[in-house]
Amino acid sequence: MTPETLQLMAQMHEESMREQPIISEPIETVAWAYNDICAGEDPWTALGNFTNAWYGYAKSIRAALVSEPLVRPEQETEYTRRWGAFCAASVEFLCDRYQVPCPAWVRDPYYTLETPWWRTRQVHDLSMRAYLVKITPPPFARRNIFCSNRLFQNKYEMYEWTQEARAKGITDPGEIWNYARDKEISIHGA
Amino acid sequence: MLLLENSPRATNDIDIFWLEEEAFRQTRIILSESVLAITRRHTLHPNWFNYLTQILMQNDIIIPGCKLWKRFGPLHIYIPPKKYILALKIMAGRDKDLEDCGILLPQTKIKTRKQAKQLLDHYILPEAQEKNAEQIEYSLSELFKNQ
Repeated sequence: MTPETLQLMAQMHEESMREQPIISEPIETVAWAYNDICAGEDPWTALGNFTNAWYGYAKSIRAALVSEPLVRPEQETEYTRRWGAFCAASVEFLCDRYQVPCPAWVRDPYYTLETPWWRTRQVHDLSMRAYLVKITPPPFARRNIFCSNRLFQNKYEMYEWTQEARAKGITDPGEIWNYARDKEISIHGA
Repeated sequence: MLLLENSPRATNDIDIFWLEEEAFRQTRIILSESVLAITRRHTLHPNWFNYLTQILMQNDIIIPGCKLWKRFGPLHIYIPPKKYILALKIMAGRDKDLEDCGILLPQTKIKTRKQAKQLLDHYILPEAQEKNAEQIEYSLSELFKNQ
């Protein structure tokens, strides 16, 4: 595809984003996502729905997406405790990054795990553990969750930053990418 | 990306990659109108038909040979091979991408880090691998134990 055609594609993307969003009921809040996880939904599908609202159709009401506390399931398990902690950490992380007031419920000690949760397939590899300790974003590490620092990077922001670079007069594709990547690191840490 | 892979992971959008430039230029207005009609009819989010992957990655990848999945008149929809999806997910390297890799890997013959690197060489251009070297290294370390 030529750059001109890609530009047409970018226009089509922007036109579609200007379309009045049809906000589904209920809005996919983090509490909704957690409820779905406890009901058996794949956690990254549920969190993906929440982040889709956060970065997309409900970005103007971000505080409302996180204000409602999680509802604990009747039957608590290690799995539901872990993902509850992960949701609380995600809210703190995102609120901090996007200057949204962080709701008090995320600071409930209930959302700090008693034993570390290593989010790696190489859980017995000490060098991998050391690496995760080094890179885990603080809201997760504080809750005893050790994971990568690539959690919420997304194509919507990456696209906006490439457009921002072009608006600043940057034309070299490599420089545009570097600009967007620097932005990504400044927001997400990696 | 995993919609067609019998995965429990659902998707909020469909990443499209338009293959024929001239056909895209000629049909883009009707394409936009069709997408909008479907958005309204099924109360979908406006970005369900997503152009961003192509806009962002056009110069990073080698377009794979694809399999014809559906045909609607002149519109032919192809699906990419699993190995290609796997390569993109290794390069993206987010927590959720690595979980998807865990679903896809057993469906391929990729068993070693070396084979995964060959896969990347097959689908991802060298400059893009260089730009994303850190996350690729992390993904490979995560997926292949001490190799």
